[in-house]
Amino acid sequence: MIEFSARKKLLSNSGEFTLSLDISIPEGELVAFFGASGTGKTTSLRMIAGLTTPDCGYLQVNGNVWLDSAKKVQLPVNQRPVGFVFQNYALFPNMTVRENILFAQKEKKEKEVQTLLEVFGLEVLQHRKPSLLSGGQQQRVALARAIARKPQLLLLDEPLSALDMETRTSIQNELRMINREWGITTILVSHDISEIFRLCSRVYSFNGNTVEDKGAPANLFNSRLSGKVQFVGEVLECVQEDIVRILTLVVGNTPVKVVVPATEGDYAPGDKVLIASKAFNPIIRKL
Amino acid sequence: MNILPATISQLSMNGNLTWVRAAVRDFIFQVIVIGNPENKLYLKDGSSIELLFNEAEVILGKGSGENICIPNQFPCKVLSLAQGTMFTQVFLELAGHTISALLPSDSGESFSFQVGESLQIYLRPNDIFLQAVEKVQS
Repeated sequence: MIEFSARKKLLSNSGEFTLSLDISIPEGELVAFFGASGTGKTTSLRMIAGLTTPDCGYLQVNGNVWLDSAKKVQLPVNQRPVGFVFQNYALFPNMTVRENILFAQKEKKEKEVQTLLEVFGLEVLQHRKPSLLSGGQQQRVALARAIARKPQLLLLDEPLSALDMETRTSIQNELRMINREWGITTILVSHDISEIFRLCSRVYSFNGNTVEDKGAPANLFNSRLSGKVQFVGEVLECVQEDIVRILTLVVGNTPVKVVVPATEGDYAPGDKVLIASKAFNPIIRKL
Repeated sequence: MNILPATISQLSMNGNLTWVRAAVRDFIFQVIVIGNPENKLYLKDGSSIELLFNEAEVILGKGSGENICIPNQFPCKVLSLAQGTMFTQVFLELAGHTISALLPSDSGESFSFQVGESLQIYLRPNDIFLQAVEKVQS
């Protein structure tokens, strides 16, 4: 279990605010930090990693206290068993794939490096430098390197947001497999709702000043509605035809179209929407 | 999306299915939902809820509709019409609320709906959503 409390004064576009969080994260789960930009998600990861110091706080990971500002306890960054993956990969450009992973290990074990290369499909690329890799390949190396440290916590700060949908889906599958097989508690900062639904068991919603444990991802959205067929989608396109609008939405990786009366408000690309149907109404066929 | 405020007046359960009767003023809507009062806390007599239904699910007709096998049949009045090429949106007054129906323009023309005209609306129980007014744990 991770117990994390912190207060930290932050500056956002709308001015100064104090981030206040008190959360518990069950061990071994893959959870999401979700919320608008500038609400303290990345700062919270950095406080956990020890890269940023809260104004006051307490952090206990699996029974070990990493931070207790009341008792002036603050474990240095290099003593926190954390793997941190950023959006921009941050690989060592002068090292090969294999060397990047090997470098992260405390005890150099070639066999473990080999396993990581296999898990992330990097065997054939192991002697290449990062500059010769695609974005998806570089992010796989960054993940393998983070796991090579044998972290108790894996911190992922929008690691897939710069990747195309196919690569993103593929790495999502690998992340899910890693969490399931190795049980590393993982915190994922993501704005991608479908990614959160696919990967995460629990969501912490950053609302400006406070952080709310929403439980399962479905609770982020309108659970008051009785419809049993509910999906969260994102608007790709809204085209008026006659007196109706045809919305093209993406649900997971699947594009769908729905028709709404033109009188029903405005929809713009990027809007998140709930798509609901009664359980009686969809047609279903076994494929 | 049409939204009507309602109050639950009666519940009939069969396993995890519940037949809900909900009052919008003097009109009793019948709705079937998956769930029961044990796992859907808003399912109780007297609860304030909202009834939601899609414009395209609203069936309009003239006359009494006594031979139509749909339990939700209510009188309404045409407030206005938005005429398109393919579709016509008919705005209606029902129990003091404005709702709308989206129907093919051909149907609208053949029935020649007029503003102020009294019609009957028909709604299937499985086309109506319930929504708790205040968020409760489901």
